[in-house]
Amino acid sequence: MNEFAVQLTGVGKDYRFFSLNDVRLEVPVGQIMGFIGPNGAGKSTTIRILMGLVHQDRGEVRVLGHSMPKEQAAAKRDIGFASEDMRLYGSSTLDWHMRFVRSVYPSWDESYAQTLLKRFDLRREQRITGMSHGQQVKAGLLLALARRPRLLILDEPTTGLDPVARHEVIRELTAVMQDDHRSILFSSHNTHDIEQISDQITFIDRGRIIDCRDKESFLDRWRRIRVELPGDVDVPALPGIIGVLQTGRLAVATTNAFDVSLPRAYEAAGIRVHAVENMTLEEIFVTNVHYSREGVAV
Amino acid sequence: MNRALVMRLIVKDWYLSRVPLALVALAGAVSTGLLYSGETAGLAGLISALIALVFLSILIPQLTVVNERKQGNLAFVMSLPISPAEYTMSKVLGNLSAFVLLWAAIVGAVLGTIASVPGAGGVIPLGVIAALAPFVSFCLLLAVAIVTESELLSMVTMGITNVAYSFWWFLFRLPGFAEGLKSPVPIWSDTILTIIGGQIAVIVLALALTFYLQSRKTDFV
Repeated sequence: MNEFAVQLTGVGKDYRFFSLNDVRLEVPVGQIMGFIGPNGAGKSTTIRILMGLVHQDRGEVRVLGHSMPKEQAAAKRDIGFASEDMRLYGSSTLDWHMRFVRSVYPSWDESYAQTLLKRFDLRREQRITGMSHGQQVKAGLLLALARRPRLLILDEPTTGLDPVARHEVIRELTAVMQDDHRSILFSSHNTHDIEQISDQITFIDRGRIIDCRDKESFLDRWRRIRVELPGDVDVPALPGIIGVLQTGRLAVATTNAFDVSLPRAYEAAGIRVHAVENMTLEEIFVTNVHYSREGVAV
Repeated sequence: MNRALVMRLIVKDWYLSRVPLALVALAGAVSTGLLYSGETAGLAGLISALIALVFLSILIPQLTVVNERKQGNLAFVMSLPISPAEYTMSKVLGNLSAFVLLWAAIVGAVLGTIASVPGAGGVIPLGVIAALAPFVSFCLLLAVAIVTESELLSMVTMGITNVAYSFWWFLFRLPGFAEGLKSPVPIWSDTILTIIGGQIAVIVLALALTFYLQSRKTDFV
């Protein structure tokens, strides 16, 4: 059995005003990969390539062991897909959609669909046009989840949802992962959602993967060190410090390779360390994007 | 080729278009009824049958291809275990079958009514050409809609094919076209057969190009 649900190697796609370059992405089986990037970073293009909806110009894409886009029909039998811009047929009811999807997927789990109807507070006889945006998103997720896919690919599924609906969706995705053989690729620019459920995190910006590692590594390695300099001098360059913001004698050093030796090195240089602060995933993401755009190796 | 899934997608398109298609069928039935009654009502029936066919040629590609893209349903369809070739097959066969079914019923009823009138057989070749014109428009629009997925280009195609109907009277200047109109039996002159052959060639070419261009397409949503 393949240890990766998703494998992209050297993938690129060129448009007139945007290029996806040398994308390498691996989602291990049984893991949730959070895929974070600003608007226009290339998240949706990458996901469309994964689904075979867009064909890469270069590189290799394998999804559940299938080569994409050539074997997309076989791969999509085991993929549940939902995206922010995917709409169900407005004039039809949720029940019609459920029957339609059930007719396509032998793996459809009707009792689980019933459970999801209750959890998401949806009515199967309701027309899609009569549903709120949140209900439509949840209906799309119900159709993706109840077929019991081995891989869920979700492109900004929580965008535009209220906090309650977002919580319901996140809770359900977490429940899905109780099965070790399922995997999720979850794209969003909402780092809070990603931080809650992901095992692995990938940052993408301007068509390039700028960082990729497990969530705990991100949170452990990134720190902000607040220091006070003894006089009108610059903060000394230390290995692992990727940027310093200095205002007079006060400075904030950011590191993506934190080690207890770093504050000690400052203190040894006569610099007073006021605080060593953890960073949220959002702060790590923003800082990462900022420095990568400035050409700093992060 | 996953024939079962292609068939499900075809049935889905028929189901989602069932109300407008039923209205076209009703319009065709009313037109034939008017035509059968003859005189002025008969002429109105002939014109309304042609309008129903023109409307049908626009309606199906608009509902099942252009609107699916415009309303964001295409991502849902393409997320199903289907290849681009199967998607194209489902759209072409689904559209073609729905169109041909209603087109054949309306055209058959109209031409059958004309043929039942003693001495009116000479009009039938013109009727065949007139009936094939919306068929040509339908295939061109279907090809443009599937290949470009563009509402604008589909509307431009609709506009061009609709304007083309206005130039019909030029055909009457062609030698061998109008001479047989008053004949009691159909006269299939070389001119008539060449025009029909040209129409069929455009239909075949449009459908073949749809499959060819779709096979080279790399972006589907």
